[in-house]
Amino acid sequence: MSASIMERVGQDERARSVQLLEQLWETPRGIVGSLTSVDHKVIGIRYLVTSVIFLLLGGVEAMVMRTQLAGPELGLVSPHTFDQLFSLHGTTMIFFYASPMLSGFSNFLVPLLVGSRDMAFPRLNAFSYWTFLLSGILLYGGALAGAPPTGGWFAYTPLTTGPYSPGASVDVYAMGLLFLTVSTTVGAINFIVSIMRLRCPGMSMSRMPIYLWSTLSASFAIVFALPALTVALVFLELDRTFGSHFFDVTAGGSSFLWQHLFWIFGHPWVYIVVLPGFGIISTVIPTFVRRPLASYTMVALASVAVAVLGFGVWAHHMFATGMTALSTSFFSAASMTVSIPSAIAVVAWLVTIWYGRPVFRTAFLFCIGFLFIFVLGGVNGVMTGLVPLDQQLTDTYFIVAHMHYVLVGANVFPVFAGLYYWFPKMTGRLLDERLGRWNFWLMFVGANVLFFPMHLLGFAGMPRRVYTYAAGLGWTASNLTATIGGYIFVLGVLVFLVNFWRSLRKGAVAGDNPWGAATLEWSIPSPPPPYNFARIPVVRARDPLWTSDADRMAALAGGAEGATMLEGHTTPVTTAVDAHPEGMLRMPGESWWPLVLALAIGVTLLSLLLHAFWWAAAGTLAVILATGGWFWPAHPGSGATPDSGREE
Amino acid sequence: MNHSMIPHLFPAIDTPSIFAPAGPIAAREALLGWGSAALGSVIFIIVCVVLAIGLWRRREVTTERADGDVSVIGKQEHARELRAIVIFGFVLPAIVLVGLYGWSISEAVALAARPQGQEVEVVGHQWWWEVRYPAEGVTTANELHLPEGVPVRLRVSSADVIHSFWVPRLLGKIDLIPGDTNNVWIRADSVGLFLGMCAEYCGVQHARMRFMVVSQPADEYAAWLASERTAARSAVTPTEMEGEKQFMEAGCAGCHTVRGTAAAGIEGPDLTHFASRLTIGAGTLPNTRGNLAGWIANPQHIKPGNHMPELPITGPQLQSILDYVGALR
Repeated sequence: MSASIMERVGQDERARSVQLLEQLWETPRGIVGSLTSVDHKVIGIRYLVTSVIFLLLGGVEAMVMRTQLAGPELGLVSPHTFDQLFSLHGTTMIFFYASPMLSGFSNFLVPLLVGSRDMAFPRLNAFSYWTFLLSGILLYGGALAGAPPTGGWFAYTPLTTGPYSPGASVDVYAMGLLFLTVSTTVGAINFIVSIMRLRCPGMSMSRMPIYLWSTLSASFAIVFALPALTVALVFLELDRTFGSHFFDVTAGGSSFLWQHLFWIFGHPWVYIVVLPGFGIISTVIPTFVRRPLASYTMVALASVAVAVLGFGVWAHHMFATGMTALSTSFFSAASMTVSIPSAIAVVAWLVTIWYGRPVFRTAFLFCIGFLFIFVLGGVNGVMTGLVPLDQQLTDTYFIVAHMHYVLVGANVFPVFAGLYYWFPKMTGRLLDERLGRWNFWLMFVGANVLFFPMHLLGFAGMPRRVYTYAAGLGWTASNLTATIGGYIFVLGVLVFLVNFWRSLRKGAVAGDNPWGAATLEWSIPSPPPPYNFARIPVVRARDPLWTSDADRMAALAGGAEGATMLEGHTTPVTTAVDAHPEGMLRMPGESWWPLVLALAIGVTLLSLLLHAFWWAAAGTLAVILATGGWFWPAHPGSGATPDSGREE
Repeated sequence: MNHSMIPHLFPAIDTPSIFAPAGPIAAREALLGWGSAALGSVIFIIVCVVLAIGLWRRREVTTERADGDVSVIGKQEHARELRAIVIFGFVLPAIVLVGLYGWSISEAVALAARPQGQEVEVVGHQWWWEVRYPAEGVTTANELHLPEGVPVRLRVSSADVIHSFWVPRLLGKIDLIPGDTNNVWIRADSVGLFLGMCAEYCGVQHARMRFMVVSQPADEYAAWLASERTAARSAVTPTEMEGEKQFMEAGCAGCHTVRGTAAAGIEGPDLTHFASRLTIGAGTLPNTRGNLAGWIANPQHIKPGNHMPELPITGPQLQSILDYVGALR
């Protein structure tokens, strides 16, 4: 009875505060609004849509290659074109799909999961999207202008140095990626700070949704891994543009330096693009088996352990370079060790399913598909960690099979699980389940028919990155099978696009919580209002929406303790571990500076690429001016008191 | 590119499977492959079975808690979950991995022993293999001849970018790295032809950077080596003599060496005993007169992007060069 009185009081109050909040948080409409928006939900969805476009581009590249390899000695594309295709495919999928896709989810989800009104640095968030978009445009613009990368996504020196790769193609790759590292680094810092400091009161680290553990681990890994790539790319461009000798063996440079730098970055990157996938799986499985995740603590620790151990395995990409036996045995042992946290997570998911009550919706089907594919990718990965065996398997189609089982298993399938799961929250409508099942089965069967025969090709001695192969070597049937699998997979993706297009307009209305899920984003309307939460929630449990009534109400309405935070553009800041309220963060509103700064950096890099050094100087000046504009003190009087307010 | 006139490029060669080892190193690697693949398959099948049972097993009806809270798991249940995760997620995988690791290290140690034997140098070029027998002063290309059953030491390096030397039936990969030399050994325990190839992406014709390992009985091998040691056979017939002249003047000699003549170029393969080789263009075509004609007339058509230029030569000039080069046994 008292609850209903409280609810009525809450309703009146809510009506008033909602009006105020809408005035405070609404993004202006039209072109200006869309170019200046800093709303994490808008940015998150942009990230997702852009990444899916890159997925489609990378997919088209892959299918041209698969068609070329359907039979021996086919001439669909020239050797040059084939090299461009696999270089673009790898670069696109690794850098412009796999990681930004997950950034899209995290951008949309992190503030909703922690119960905040936006990310910690909303303008930095917008900046991170614009730099991602512009770097993708730089890469594909360069490709269309006749300089697509040809050195593979891994760009080994000395093949990519001036004498062996003249022209601008390697520069397009290097500048595009340098640009992208800016985006990814600031994005990761934004996630770290948002997760550590913007959790709503009561959401101690031990209560935060498991997805945040995986995003936090991946974000820390990004911050530590990317500098190695940045350094390698800068060295490469110094060699190519100014004639330095980092990679020039004839002048005392090293052929190994690039490999070490690249894989010190590159292997952690694999975990960076699968960890948030683990987080999606750990979120979706409990929802559809109606039971909390088995041993949250173990899974959270496993995420952290993967991110840390991932830094100790890079040289397992280099077992054929003639390293000493001591080095190879160390990196082999490290590679064995890093599979243990993954095994722990897999068993935790199996146990959750075992004791739960499965409801077979499409999002859950993708989780099952993930388990099947990822476990196979883990098992064949252990094989590649055994040094003598890896010397046979490395650089063959077995590795192509392995890494696609891992990346399709632990990135693409979780991403599709996430799309089916959160599409209703993003759009207010459900994706169609019947098309969803077609989508899943075509992709699942397609992925296995596509990638499984590649194991056999590796055993049969087929090397990677060949534009064709001779007849009579026993490779033809497996290649043809793989190509057919590729087309089946493509059909699955097309079904998704149809489903997406139809459901966006005609899908069933979702409501706040269509899955009966446990986390905070399902306590607010679908799609969420610009301010996310009318009252800042107070959390007393790990699965707030699954707890008994009192806690559920606390989460839903903010309860007695929940603050409406109507004093301007603000969100609460809490302590890092226990989430005790500590102060208020004053949030910036719409801004042109993120776009302007991103454009200025883009102009600078493009000028360097074209060796237009005066333009590069002008671009650098623009970067400095834009940064100054960004940090220019905001007009006072937007509501926050000086002692409690914090500037971005 | 249409090679339909050649039904099979490598008629004498079986699938270069790593599971059909013909030497001691590949045999150890294959054993590790079979063992780990079998173990991995068993683990994978167990996981799939557990997943399937977990998804579809019959569940007893449970009563909900009075307060409707589904987020709390009983202490006993929680302990049961944790036990399963520790045993199946940590202890068992750790035991399996430690065992597998120990096995692979013991194999690696066994392979680390370096037997004495003849030394051969292999130098990778974009996109062909230079093979030298330094003690004999022999240089050839795209073919590694080995005496059956006798270990041979290989010193491998590169003249340009990184390549990787790989003969699936005999030896796992070893990279050819500019500015660095790697040492391995190889032994073929049966007579025959084994396909080798470059396994590190090295540019546009990475796909057509193959070679042949020719394992021969000791006497045949000795005879081959003795023949290779000699200078090139002198031109005898008038057309051969005309061909030699054309070879020197048309530009061939600028890149190719023919020992015993003025041709001393080092950009391309040594052609001193070219006619005794099995393939043209590093395993691109069988070494026949017709293929050679096509190759000299139009190398960029057959292997686009390779470093052999198209020389402006007439039909008769080509025929005489074919006579000359075709006689370099």
